[in-house]
Amino acid sequence: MANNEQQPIPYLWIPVVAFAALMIAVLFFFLRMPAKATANDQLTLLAGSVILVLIACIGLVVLINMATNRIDLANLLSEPGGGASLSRFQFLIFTFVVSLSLFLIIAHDYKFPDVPGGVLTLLGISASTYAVGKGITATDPVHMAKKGPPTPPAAAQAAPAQPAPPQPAPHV
Amino acid sequence: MGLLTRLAFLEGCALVIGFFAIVAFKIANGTISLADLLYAKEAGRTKVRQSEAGGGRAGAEGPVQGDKRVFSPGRLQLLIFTVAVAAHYLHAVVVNPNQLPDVPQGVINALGGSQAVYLAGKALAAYIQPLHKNLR
Repeated sequence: MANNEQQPIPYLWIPVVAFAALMIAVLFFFLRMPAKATANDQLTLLAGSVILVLIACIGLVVLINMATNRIDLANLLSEPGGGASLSRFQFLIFTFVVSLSLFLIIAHDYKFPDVPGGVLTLLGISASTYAVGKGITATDPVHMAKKGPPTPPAAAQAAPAQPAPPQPAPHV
Repeated sequence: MGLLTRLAFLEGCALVIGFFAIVAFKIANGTISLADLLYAKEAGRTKVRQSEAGGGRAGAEGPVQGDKRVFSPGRLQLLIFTVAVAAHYLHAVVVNPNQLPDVPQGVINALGGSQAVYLAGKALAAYIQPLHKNLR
């Protein structure tokens, strides 16, 4: 795979570290501890800050790699036989819609909402269609004929058959 | 705590919008291909890919045969239905962001039926049509 041979982005750590430093500076200078904060409150605040900076850095690295094609998205919607897959496209749309909705609701109420059964059914239908479609494509006689018979592993081909070592006589 | 909450909100916004924007941009500029999204494979009919038929890579293995793809109304109706359901759901969340709205049973039934038609067409093209062609 050509994409696996790509070199990592040089100096990627510079924007990531700069971003992390900026966030830490903002938290350090502007985050005020309540006057009657208990040790539990302080720990919550500290853990929240660390998780916030960590997720921001990881997210930034993933976004940069996606934008510069280090994470290859070219086959995100492609079927094995070529062409775009409608079931994958539908799964992508529903995933984005549900995740965006969930984020909006959590940002509005600061609590995780109950997920209705209808939404789970919707995602279930979409995911099962994707899985069944993949199964149909994989077992399609034309697709299987194009792929050819499965080849044995290289090690098994290269190594000649070894005779079985003599077994010790069982103790009576 | 207010600042932390606000920062978490901004970070979540940036991540969700960033992922969405990158995928949308790559779809728009063709990096993520949507070619043949509305076209289904027609079994039993093949066409020779032009790039490989003229020699070159075909070599000793002969020209590579590609699938003949035809426009599929089933895929079009599924695409329209998917976009309509997604837009309706997002609108319902924006109007009332207190809870995740439930999806009406009729919509789920219609989507299930639509998916069934799509899968039936796919299975027909993969299994039934080649069998029918061989019998003829």
